Amino acid sequence: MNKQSSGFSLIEVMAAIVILTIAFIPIIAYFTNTIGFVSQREDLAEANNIAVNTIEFLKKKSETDWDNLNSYTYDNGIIVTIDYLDKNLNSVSNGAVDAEGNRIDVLAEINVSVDIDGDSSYQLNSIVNKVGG
Amino acid sequence: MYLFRKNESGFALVMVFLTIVVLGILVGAFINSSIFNIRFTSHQENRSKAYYAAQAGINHLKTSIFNEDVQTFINELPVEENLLNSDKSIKYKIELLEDNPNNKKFSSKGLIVVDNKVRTTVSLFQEFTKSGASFIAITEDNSAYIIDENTDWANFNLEPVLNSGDFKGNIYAASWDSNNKVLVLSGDQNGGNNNIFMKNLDGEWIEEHFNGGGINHIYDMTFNQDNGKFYSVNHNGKIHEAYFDGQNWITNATGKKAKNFKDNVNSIIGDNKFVFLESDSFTNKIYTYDIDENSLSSSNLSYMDNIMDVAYGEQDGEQMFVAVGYEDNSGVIYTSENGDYWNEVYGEVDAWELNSVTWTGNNFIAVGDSGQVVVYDFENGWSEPDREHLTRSYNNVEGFEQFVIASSPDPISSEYGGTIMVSKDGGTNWTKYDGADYRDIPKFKNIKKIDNSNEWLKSNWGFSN
Repeated sequence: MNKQSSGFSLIEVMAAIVILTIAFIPIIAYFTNTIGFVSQREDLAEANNIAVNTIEFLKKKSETDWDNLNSYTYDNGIIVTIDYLDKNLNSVSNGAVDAEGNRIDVLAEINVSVDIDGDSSYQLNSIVNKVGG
Repeated sequence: MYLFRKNESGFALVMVFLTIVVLGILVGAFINSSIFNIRFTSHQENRSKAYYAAQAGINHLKTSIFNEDVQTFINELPVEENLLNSDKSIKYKIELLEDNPNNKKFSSKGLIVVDNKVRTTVSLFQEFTKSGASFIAITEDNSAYIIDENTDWANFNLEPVLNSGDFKGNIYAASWDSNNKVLVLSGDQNGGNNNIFMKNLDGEWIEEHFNGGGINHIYDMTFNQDNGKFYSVNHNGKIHEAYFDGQNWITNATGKKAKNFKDNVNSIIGDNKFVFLESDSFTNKIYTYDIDENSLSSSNLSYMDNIMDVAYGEQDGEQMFVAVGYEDNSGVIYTSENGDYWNEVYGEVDAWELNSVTWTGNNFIAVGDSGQVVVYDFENGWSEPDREHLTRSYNNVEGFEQFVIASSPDPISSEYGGTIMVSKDGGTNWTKYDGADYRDIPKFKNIKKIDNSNEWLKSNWGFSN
């Protein structure tokens, strides 16, 4: 019995290693992909936060100081681009005044685009009341 | 044990398969969690986009609702607008949920549409409420209150905006600069110089004294929105205009003067004409000052009549001036189309003495002794609502649309409060709060509406289904 089984274990182990290796190749590939994907998502989540902060800031600012709304660099490699498009919806008011007594002249569509390291771009759109200016 | 020792062969393979199964489960769990993470961030991203699309709808509403032509806007609902976006179709959709005259509720839905399927929806709702009529009211003891439609008269506990005794002297009239949104009170200091007090709604009172220059003893002043100036007549009958230039009060004498001017003055602005009354036991005149022409004309009324108040109203191209007063124990009404020629109204109503008249935007309402109320509107003419339970004598009436308030400053005795009556249906039905029962009600001698009433204000908002 002992004589017959000598060397068999080694073959068995070799076979096992081969099978495991074959099984691991897609798993490792999957992990590599996922890491990349997750870091991309992380960038997008950060871009989302930056875009949300920017648009909140713009919403406030558009009520007082429309003229000075510019694109800016948030951090190294993160560029925030702000675009406007005057909207002539069915409702552009004539000297309308809101509850705080501010003039509301026109609506503007606002497009905030956040670029991180030049590859992932995240866009957020809304409409704000453009005041004065 | 014996079995294991005998059958060792294949054990490594079994171990390998076991390892693969265990690893497989672990990897499966990991895949699951990372898929969840990816879905979550992508959902967050879509929700942010949908949220700001919904906000875009709210902002769209915001400009429209403050517009005069709210109705047109509502007629064009639902509005579906696309927002620019490179990778997804983002829309917002506005719907009218509740449509009441003084309250409108909208929903704004932000939608992410992929392949014609709505993937993410964020719903916001926004309510707009019309501010009710509000008024500045001056009391016998020279304090001032801001009152409105919702004032609880039965448990009156408002703080005055000006306390009695804060100014040494009398306050005669309240007025409202609707261009600068400033309250203005006029009075005099111990019978001497005239004062003007002013205050924006949340600021401090500023006191201005005029020494001579004809700006003294102003019993009433009125604001002309067209040129942003106040007009007043002093006790010598001289007409002045006054305005606040942001730092100082500027006053100009117009050079026009009424004769025999007495204390009894009431003034209105209508059609760029400033109408005021002169009345004592010998003369009885209505003066009309034309602001554009800087000219003064007067009409003699029957000397028996005592005219107490005038009002101006216009609706659908029709306009009218109404003056009310009394002769012996009965009410007297004069009307004029242009403020220059006045005709007495006979036989339409049988009223007690009338003391005050106002234009609410829909109708004229006059009040007087013994709870007398007289209503005129351009469509139905003159009418007299039931007055039996109103009893007291009312000296002042002011109204805005459906809400009307009349005051009776004369106390039954010093320990009683003033009486007021209010109508919430344009003068037909009234509720009386008698100073005998509700002793905390101040004794109002002059009530003026604040013209910023009726603005649409944003009230509640939030997420909806």
